[in-house]
Amino acid sequence: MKQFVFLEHAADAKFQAFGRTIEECFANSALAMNSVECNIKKVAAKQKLAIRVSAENTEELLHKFLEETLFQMETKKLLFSKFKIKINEKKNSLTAELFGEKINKKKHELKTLVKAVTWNNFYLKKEKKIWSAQAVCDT
Amino acid sequence: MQKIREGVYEIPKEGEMRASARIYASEKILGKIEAEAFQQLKNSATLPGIQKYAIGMPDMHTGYGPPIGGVGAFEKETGVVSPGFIGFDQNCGIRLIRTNFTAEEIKPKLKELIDVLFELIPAGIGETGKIRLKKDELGELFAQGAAYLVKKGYGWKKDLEKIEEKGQMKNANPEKVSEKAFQRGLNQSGTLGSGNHFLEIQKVSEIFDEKTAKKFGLFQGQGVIMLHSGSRGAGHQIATDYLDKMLRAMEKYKIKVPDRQLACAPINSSEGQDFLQAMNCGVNYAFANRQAMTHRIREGFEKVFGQKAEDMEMSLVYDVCHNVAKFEKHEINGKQKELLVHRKGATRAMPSGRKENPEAYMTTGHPVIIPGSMGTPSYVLVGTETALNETFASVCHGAGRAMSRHSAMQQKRGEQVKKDLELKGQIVKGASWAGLAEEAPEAYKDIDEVIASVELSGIGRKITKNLPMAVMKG
Repeated sequence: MKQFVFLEHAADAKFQAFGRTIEECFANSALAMNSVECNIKKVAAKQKLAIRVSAENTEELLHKFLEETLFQMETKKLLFSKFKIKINEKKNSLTAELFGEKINKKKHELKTLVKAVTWNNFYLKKEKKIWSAQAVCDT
Repeated sequence: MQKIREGVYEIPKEGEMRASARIYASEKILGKIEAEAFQQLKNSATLPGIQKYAIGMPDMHTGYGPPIGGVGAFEKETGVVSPGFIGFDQNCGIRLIRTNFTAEEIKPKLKELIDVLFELIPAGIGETGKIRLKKDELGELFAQGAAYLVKKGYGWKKDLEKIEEKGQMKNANPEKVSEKAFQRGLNQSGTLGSGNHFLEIQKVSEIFDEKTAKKFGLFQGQGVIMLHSGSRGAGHQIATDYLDKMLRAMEKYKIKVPDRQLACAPINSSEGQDFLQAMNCGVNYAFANRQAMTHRIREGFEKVFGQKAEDMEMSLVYDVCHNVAKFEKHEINGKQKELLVHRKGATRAMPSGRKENPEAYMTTGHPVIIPGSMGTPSYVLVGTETALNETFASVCHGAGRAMSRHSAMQQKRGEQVKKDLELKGQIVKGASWAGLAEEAPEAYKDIDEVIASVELSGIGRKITKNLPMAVMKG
């Protein structure tokens, strides 16, 4: 199973991410978003940051998780390459540890800044035991 | 799709559409617009209170919510405001700065100039500006826009006369801006950003209307500077916050949209009013951001040429937004009505006589600045009466992408893009190789064709054509 794939979109970054568990699907979605900005293989999991997110349903939880991750990336000047996520599906909430390091122009092969996570064609679903998500990030 | 006249096509009202959709494009350009972009335009036509038509410009392409290159005007009393119809980069826009140099006079120092500007203006991911603001100062900047920075010594008082809205949207209320948006905005004033944002040194290569060009301070062979940037993280966060609020509010107002990114609320609702007050802060942030960079550009020229910016006559030609919603009066069925005009990747183009023009441009109409893609020409236009009557005084905002960033990266390497442009005699300095690959000229529509569409449909008139000499990319 692939972690994520990028799809054609004229202006922005559209991806699908997959997981055998909902947590894995969330983590791969955040990895895809980070890979819009840099080569995630070059990002060492040196620093840890903990976040909490809650929402009204699991799809919105994923959206808010990506938004929160993006907010942390931009304000703390970090890139992330590893995620440990615990999701409470009944309460539509999660706690996550984001691992990464400070942005380094010379090391991380920077690409394009993600401005925001849009709701355009956004989804989270489970089919035949596989979770998948889709998002379009404004770049 | 029906042909209305040369350069104008209409998709009749169907299904949930409340208005028909119109596209301003030549047949050639029309063939290059993706089916999804047309669908997004039709989706935009379903929003409550939309007037006349949902309008697509010749640079139209797939976006999120409405297409990029989309215009929609909504009746003040019955219509809606939609954050997604403005975009996350509120008041992304273009500023053109003149000099009294010819391009030939700049050329010998071009390399040095771009290197100096690259040092002075932070570009790309993770960069912070040199202007450090405290929270209360950022609040003032949100409320006052470019005027705040001019007061602090960044630029000239007369700059404000040559900025749309004089660089300050009224009714901007920092209390409606979230803590997160403040945090994202604190250290980014005076930064270029990434993606398609750029700073370019250009040569005015052709003059189509001598008299108007002169009014704009432009002459044949002149060296000018074009700047493309927006509201950075502050604006992106404001849009994110209010999109969320509107998604929740729609049920209350019994509004259904075909794409959640079109989430909206009645203009007269508390959600609508709060958003407008917050959005105006984002718009003001972008005006201030371009003002801060203008100050640095002048500093850079002073350093390289050893002259004062005043002596090099580096005044603004104009500064226009292309992602914004604003109240304007337009004629609907013979009556003047106050409308909230949303422009998402579309440039305001008020013809002569309209009160929105600065005094200096009242008899010509303000300059409408349209950048090409990297390595290709840009244009200065003016709006026409046709634009006023048909497109709510709007034209395109650029060439418009024809290829995804992903495909561009697979087909081109940044190093090759730089080399190709250098063979054409242009200097390119980018914050990242991948960024250059994504912005390869081949990834965009032909700007000459797009501008030909604008002229064919009669919504704009060419004043100058500018060629790139050196570009700095985020």
